[in-house]
Amino acid sequence: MPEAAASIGVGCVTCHVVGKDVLAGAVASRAQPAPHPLLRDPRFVGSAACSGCHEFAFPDRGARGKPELMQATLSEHARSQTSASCSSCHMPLTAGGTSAHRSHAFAGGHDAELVRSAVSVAAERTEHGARITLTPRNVGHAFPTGDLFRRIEVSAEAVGPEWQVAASASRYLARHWQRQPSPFGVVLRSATRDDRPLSAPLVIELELGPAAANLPIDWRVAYQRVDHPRSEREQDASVDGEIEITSGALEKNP
Amino acid sequence: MKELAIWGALAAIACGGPTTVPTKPAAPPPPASPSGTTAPTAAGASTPSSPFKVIGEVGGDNQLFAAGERGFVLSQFGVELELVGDEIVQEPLLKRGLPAEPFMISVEAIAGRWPDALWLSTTEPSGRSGYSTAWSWDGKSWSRKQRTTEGHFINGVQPWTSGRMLALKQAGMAFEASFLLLSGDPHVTLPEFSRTKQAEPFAMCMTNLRIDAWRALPSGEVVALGMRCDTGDDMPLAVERWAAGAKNSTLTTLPETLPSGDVKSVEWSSTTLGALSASDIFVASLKETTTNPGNDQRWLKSDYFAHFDGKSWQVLPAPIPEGVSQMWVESDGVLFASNRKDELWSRSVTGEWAHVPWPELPADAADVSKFKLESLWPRGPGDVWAIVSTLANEYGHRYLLHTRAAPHPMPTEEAKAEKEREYALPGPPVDSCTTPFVLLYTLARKSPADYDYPATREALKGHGEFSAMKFVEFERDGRKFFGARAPDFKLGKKLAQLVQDKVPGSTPQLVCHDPAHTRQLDIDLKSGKLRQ
Repeated sequence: MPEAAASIGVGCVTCHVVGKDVLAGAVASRAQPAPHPLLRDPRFVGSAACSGCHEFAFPDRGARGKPELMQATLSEHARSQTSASCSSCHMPLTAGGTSAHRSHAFAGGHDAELVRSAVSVAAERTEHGARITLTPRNVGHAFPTGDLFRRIEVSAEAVGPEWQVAASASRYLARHWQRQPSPFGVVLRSATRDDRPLSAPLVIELELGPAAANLPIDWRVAYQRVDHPRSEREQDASVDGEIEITSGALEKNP
Repeated sequence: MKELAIWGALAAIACGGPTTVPTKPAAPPPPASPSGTTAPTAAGASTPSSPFKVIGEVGGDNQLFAAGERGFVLSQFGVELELVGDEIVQEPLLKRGLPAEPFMISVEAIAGRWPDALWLSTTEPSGRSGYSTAWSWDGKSWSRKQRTTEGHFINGVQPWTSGRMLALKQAGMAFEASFLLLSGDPHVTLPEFSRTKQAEPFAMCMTNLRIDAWRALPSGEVVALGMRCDTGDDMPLAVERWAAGAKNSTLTTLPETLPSGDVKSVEWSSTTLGALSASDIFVASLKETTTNPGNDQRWLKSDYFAHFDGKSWQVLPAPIPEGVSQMWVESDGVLFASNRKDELWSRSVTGEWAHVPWPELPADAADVSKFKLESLWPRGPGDVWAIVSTLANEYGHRYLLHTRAAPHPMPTEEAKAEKEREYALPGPPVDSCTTPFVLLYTLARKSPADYDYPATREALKGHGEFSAMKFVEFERDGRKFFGARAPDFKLGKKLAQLVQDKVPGSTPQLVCHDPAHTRQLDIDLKSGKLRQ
């Protein structure tokens, strides 16, 4: 179990203990017997086992007209074209100890290699900007998935002769939220749109204007963990962490 | 926590200082009461260590406020520090939106709920009086929402039911008060103050009460304490209470607050309220009576303390020495009280009073006449913040205290000033600006760290008139910028025009800005080369 997960209260019991039973998959992957009784259930290695933490509604259901999912990774997984289970990517079989077993490092949004493998990116010039295409490949859910505060930043800037930004544009791929007061006087978050790549290629047109026509364009795609401490405006977010997926430069138009 | 955002004399929250000798004899231990008031532990009986730790020195006018779980240290210019958990954090963004040159505006209070229902009140002079403005935090800056009419002021904002924020608006001089709903579902009945029979447009006595303290309870009840004006020349203490959801109130004159016998008049000061619930309310005040036995007029001071048990008011002996000057209620039902010596006492949920010693301060605070409790915020059990001041030298010092150690040191004044400079947004190039700046370029992410701007230097070559310019790089939100500090806007405009003409793709802007630079480039304007 990663220390970071343990520090926020995620431990063995989070997944493995239900009532008085210690749950495990149907097939033992270790040669040695467990030092305690196990309740083996094939559903434990299926995606449904992850739903408790990765598919749930906002806890303020009483104040909402209808419930809304705060995290919807399993629904996204069902809509995706993958047949792989959650554990096949996030708990890959790994050697170590007495036998091969499922990794409990839970690779995810903090694993740069895994994040970069989620989409392939292609960029080309347009007359006054850049066209950037994101094609999901090694991902079985919307990218990014999980909590409210993750997004993909797709950006481009036309670069002048002094390395100055002559024009810039950016787009954020995420579940987009708005805050609005409910009839009960509390402020609720509700999703307004979702433009994350899921299974089909996503084409982003970034318009930089005529000033960019004769200048090279730097483009960049980054996975960001953001917080919105002050508003839901994308530009107001504070970036708590970032993984650059890829970046490049497009020469000026001939 | 300072409860009233107030004008003039109403601003004091914990007024200590010398007073005349109380006229009442030493109070015997009070009888057991439904509220569980029992005799206090003597302050001087032992010298237990203080639960408070000195976190650091704060500005000379700083006060504590709270919005839900988040605390704020305010100066008259705005939010100086945030109290996030045990951390003391500077967030310069929280000064955005307020006037940049606040010579005539004073930030009085912050209240509500962070971050979605946060309110700030200011006062400004106007004519012979002034007015208040309520500002709402929109996520990016403070925006002006409501202002009172002249001579009326916002006296506190408190969380009410279902996330609503209730404010009290009160006339500065006359007896006239009303509640405002600042935010939250408007479909609710607002409590209304009872009005006097002579309520005329220019009467001094419009509502029965002039409020010294009030409390909106999470259960919906509202309680207000103050002096009553509809009783002729006598102005007794009275409490107005509203049941949850009620428009009309119950107004009760507190017992033993009207002159009687040879007492000619009674005046009240340091009036304070501690509402643990709608049926467990304490009030305290300093009573100043004028007696007139024959021609020998006398002025006497005594402590007034009373309790409401849900049915009736009962006068009690002051529970702590030197009277109760101010009260604060902690979420778990513990009541804190300060006295005229600025000692702090706590009353447990079972009714025992105990002295809470102050820590040793860096400056000499042994002389109580030089020590003052400025504000207190009991956030929760074992989690109490305070600001205290001393006058150990002619300038005085003010300290932030907390009952838990700070994980990280409090920002120093120098660090705060530097961060404010860093966060300051460029302003418009107005005549009053003392820091003209030419913002030449936002640099691309991939610009080299040691880039030396050959095209810009070539443009500047031979332009000795720019010798007073300071060419600098600075960073903000992870991006790098290049610009020039200018001695005046006239020269700045000339530089902007030159660079725009000579460097393709550049659009320099003239702004008022004083960024903390990360690099300064010394350009030889004669040769256009960079001096090493």
